[in-house]
Amino acid sequence: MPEVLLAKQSDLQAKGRSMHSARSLCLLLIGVPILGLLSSFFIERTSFFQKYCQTNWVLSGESIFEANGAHCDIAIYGDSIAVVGVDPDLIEKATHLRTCNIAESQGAGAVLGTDPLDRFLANNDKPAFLVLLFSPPDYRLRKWEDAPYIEGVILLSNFYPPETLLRWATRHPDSVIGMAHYVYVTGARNAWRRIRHDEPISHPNALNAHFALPFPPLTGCISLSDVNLDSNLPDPQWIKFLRARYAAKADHLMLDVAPAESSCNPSFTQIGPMLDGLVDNQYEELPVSYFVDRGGHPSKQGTNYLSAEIAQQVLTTQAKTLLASQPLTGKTNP
Amino acid sequence: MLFNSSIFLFYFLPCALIGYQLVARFGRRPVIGWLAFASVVFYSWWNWHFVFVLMGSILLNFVTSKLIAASPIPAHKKLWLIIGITLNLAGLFYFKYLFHLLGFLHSVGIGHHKWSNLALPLGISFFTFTQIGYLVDLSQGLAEPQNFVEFALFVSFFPHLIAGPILHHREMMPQFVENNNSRLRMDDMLVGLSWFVLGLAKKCVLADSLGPYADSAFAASRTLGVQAAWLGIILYSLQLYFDFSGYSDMAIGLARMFSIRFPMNFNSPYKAANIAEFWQRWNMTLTRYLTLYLYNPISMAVNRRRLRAGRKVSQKAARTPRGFLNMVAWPTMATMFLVGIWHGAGLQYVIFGLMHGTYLTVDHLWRLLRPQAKTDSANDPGFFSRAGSVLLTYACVLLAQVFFRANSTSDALHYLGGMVGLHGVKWHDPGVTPVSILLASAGLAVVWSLPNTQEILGQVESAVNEKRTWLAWKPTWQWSLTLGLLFFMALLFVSNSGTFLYFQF
Repeated sequence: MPEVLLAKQSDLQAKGRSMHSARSLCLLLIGVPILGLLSSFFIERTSFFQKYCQTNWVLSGESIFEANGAHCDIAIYGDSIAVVGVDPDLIEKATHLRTCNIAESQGAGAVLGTDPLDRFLANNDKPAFLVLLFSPPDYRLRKWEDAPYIEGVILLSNFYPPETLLRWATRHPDSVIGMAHYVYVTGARNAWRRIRHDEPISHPNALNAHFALPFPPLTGCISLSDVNLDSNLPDPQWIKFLRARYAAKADHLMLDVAPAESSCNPSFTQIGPMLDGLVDNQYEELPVSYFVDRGGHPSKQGTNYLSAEIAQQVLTTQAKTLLASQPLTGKTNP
Repeated sequence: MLFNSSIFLFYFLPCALIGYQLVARFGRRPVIGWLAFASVVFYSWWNWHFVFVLMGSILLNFVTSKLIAASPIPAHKKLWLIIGITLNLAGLFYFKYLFHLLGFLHSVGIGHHKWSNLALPLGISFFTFTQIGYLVDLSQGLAEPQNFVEFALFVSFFPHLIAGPILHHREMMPQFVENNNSRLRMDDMLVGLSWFVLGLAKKCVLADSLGPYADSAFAASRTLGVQAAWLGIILYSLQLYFDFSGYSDMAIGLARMFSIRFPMNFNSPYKAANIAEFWQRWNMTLTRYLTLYLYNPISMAVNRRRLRAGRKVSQKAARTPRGFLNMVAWPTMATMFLVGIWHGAGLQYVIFGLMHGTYLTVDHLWRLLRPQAKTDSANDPGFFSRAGSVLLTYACVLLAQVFFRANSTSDALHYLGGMVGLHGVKWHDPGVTPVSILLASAGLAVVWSLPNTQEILGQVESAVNEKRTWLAWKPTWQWSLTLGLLFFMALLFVSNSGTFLYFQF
């Protein structure tokens, strides 16, 4: 073979090798992050991660899924305000009724909608009282884009079939990144803190999602000017939908709105009239020390107040029902 | 759509690349059409209404270019050029300046109606400038008329559409049109991908970590002590650099994946030893554009006027006070005034431009008046002299960046007051934390001691690059693994990542 042709052939071979090598290197460069992203779903399920790395929000979100064949006289469902602000033990003491807090954070609601509640009601005894407690902005159908918190994706990963998770991840690729951030950044931070300080993980029980936020009560509140006021308002249609959907799922359905502090909530005065006749309690203003953050998460004092209010509401409803069910004797007490 | 968004990374980019590879079987024209289509989809993602602004602008300039090309008489060419430039600038003025101006007039009591600002179509300054440059060159016979799809792709090619680099048709058109091998090239893909990853890491890991510290410093501009004020502006300067150079790296890397080579846009600007060098290293394509289409025409007009008046235009003439003012100070100040306005409608941007104009004028004056060294070795500054020059230049840049970042001139003046100690020396300022000091130190160490992206990737042919072999990228599995890990790390922070600072321009 002529030398020129041999040289050409060798050039082509070298070029082919180089192209092949570049392709492999590209695949390696892309493969590493893909592997890292996907592995986060497996790491999150390991016992080490469960023991040291989970956040309380995720753990509390799991409580509703862990209930099976349970009996709750009072079931409290709602958003993160209900998680933090309703202590079922306090309600039990006041009413002598078995009380379960099965509330979930906003992030779970944005991914799972009302499905966890539907599952709970299908798999457990019918409660005598079903209390739905939300802050005004969560009285609307939340979307992932409105509340891209990762708790819902973790619950989806842990309690739903893989194809549901795959469908979700395809539609919301940012949630895959969020999951990886949760596992590798938040998880590592939690593990570091817990191992270093030997801090026990507060693992809420099944049927009790309640935990207290470790922050001091607020002393003042500066309302942010960049809050999107429209997304801060409740949706009356959604409240009507909830009432229609769950009216028959419990002996008594109570739709409550969580209290707030007016300087923390720029829409406070607007929200009250919107909720008149739609919810079963008043949209109350409480002192700023009843909260630990602008989002309206209650402090210990706020939790005591809110739990007592719900207990009172239950007792009043119970008394009314009792009165209504007793036959009239023709005499009335003075 | 942002380069650092999941929709771009997981869907748009893979689709654009796969589509390119598939369409490439049918030749170059379908490839150009595909890229133009992908670019319009990219642009419409943010706000589809603005596609009409982009397409209207492209159509207007395409028609104008045809009219210029078809005019046999130079005067007619010039007329069409003036009409084209006027319409381009009118569009830019309408979207970017008119309502700011009306708002300003209302605030000083002129006019009853209170106007609110319009939403700014993304990248309007960039695509308007790109097209004006093309029209100017076409009228001077320096550019060839293109068909519509090629022209649309030149203007809208998604890697540069939103925030540059500002492309010149001479370096782009041949690459779009004459590339015979349209398929994706794996060697370009590897370099492009590496470039993109380095840019993404700069943006998501570095710039976005610095942002909150700089933001809180400027939010407290009226009360900052000396230390916090200086620390705040240093952190902002680093945020701006990593943000914009990260964006530019991503743009260059993306183009390279399609075997399109973009011009460099950043070359370690904070290593500049004087302000002229700074502008040769910062947003380089903008500087080139302004030199070609603004500074040079103004300077030539001045020279022609002087010649007509019987005055000299030599170096010696520039050393006289009148000659210096006419031939150096005026073109420089006028250009930098427009640079300021280009960045935004507020007075603070005008001041930013004028400050840089003043710096450049002083720099020119220094060059004209300083004693000339007799030998080359005498011209070569020592390490300490060079370091001093770099620090002085950086300090000047920082002062101007106060106006660039502040929300208003008043805020900027308060901030400067803090920098010179008018708000006192506060040792326990909440803005001065170990973390913020560490971030500023680490950031400065990176910009002053590490090679830049093109040097790492070996994409510049300079003596400096040859020296820096210790951090020179090679197509090896070790480098790919490292960059893969960096890619993963950047992705972890993508969800917290914001928009690019230069998108507002």
